[in-house]
Amino acid sequence: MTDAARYEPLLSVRDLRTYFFTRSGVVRAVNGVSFDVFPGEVVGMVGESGCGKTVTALSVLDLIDPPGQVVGGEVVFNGRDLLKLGGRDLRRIRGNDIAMIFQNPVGALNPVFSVGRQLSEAILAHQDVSKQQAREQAIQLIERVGIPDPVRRLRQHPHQFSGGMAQRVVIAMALANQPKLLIADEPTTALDVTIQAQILDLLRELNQEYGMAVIHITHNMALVAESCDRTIVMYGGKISESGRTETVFERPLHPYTQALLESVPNLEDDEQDLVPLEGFPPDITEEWVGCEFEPRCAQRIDRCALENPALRDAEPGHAVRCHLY
Amino acid sequence: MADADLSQTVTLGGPSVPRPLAGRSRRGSAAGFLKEHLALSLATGVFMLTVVIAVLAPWLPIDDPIRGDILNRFLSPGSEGHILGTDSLGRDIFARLIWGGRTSILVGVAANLGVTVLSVFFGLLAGYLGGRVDGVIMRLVDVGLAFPGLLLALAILAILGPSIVNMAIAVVLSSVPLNVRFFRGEVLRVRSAKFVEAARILGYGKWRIMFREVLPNVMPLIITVTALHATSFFVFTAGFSLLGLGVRPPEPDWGSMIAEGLAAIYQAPAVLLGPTVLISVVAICFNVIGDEVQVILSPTESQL
Repeated sequence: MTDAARYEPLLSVRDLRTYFFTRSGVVRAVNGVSFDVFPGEVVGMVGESGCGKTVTALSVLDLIDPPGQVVGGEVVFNGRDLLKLGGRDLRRIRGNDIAMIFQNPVGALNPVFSVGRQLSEAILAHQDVSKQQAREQAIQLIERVGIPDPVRRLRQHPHQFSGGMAQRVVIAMALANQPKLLIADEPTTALDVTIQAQILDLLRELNQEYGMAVIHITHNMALVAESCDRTIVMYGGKISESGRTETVFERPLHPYTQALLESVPNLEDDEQDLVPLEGFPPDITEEWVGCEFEPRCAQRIDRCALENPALRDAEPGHAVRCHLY
Repeated sequence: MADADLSQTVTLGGPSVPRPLAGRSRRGSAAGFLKEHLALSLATGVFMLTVVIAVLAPWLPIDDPIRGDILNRFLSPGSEGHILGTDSLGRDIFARLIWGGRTSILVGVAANLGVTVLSVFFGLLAGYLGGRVDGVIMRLVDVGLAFPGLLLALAILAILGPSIVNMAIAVVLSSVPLNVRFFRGEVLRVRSAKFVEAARILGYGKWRIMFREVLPNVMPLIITVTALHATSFFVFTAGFSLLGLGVRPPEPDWGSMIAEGLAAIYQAPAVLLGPTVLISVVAICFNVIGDEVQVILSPTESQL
């Protein structure tokens, strides 16, 4: 792909902190996350459940509801801090410049309206076109995402679509206003494997065709290796490692990344045993003194329990949050 | 575009939980629609007939419902010129039933409309916006619920004075709190659905999401509750008239007729039976309409 580093970042997240103030304590779901996304780039965000991937994505769109709150940091998109925009300006960016798709595509569509109506409304919300033009665009979009018989399909309701077809509709809606950034939050988790591959191919095509940047949130390492330019590994609300996908997969530095890769079955080498990662994600209701991964880490040293490591470049463009480097 | 399709297409699957592909099929033309929803068509027809008769009362060839002929009191049903006979003051029962329907149906429908519109509006605000708005609305609701409904209505009527309009106001004010509760609960449920989040991500504003994404999904409950109210409001207003707080005699109204009929149940049972039967019929019509429309509109209910 393009050499992304030459461009200004499209999205620049700095020291993002999103906390949830619950009865059982403050959950630090996102705790000082910084990353950049460059135009046209596909960034994979991996980590186990509850590590803060989805909350990061929703924070970028300033969509955190109470008891959650973005307590600090900035999200600069095209030179503007989205967290300070609010109101109409922010709504103009949502759905127009930044779109998002989800894990459960059928649930992401309103059950009482036809798919065509929902698609047309997404277009009409951001473009100054007539209803007729919106409908024509909707037909083109539905065709583009590979749904056969678009005219008939547009008249149908969400429950008449299978998961894969519904995800195509949701992607069509996301694409309706040609966004510059698409956040895909586990878009294939609820789909079976063959459909997964089709949806991923579609996303890659659209990324190349429209030059749309994609943040791909997933817990599937294989999927990241295959489709992302850059990889961000998250653990306990923080980034534990980030870098170009080849680098991260060939030379994983963080013990957590290494453990994740060892727990993925390798088809070419069936001699190699799978190594499960023992233990559970950290309790993020307390501020950790040491490293969040220390209790589960096989390579821990004395310092790990005493001091929280900072994210720093181990080599150019390859950052890791670990005392070993 | 979508609305017309609803009746035919909402057959399978729920909004979020995919359900097994079983259930009744609801396909067909407009004529087939009437045939398939026979109960709905009948109930609507009967209710519309009642409304038309009530509206046309001044032009119908019936006796004056107020001026009685004291020499001809308690005529039995089937007497010449008086199909249902006359009451204790010699007034034509049939005429009083028709004129009484005007007041009863008007108050019933107006109160129902008022209650639904207000409760849905505040329920949406409280449930969707949450936070401080929710707090203020729900504390007011708590205040309203602290009084028994009938007592609150009686107090309002006592302050405003007995009249048909005040009766409607009393019914509305005493029923709104509980219904705000109902609708808020449903709004909370719908609001947590993924498509609401999707709508926010598409950049839709909160008013648009409230009224165009959430409201249509609360519609099945609104219809059920409204149909239920139709029944209870008839009984409610009848009760007020019976207590002498609604319609003032000699104006006819189904409730006050029941009150009068009770006193003369042996001499002229038609005074009591007429409005009782009519209230039941209209109430049943409303319930059937409510149930059927709910089934047609709701994608989940349609296959239960």
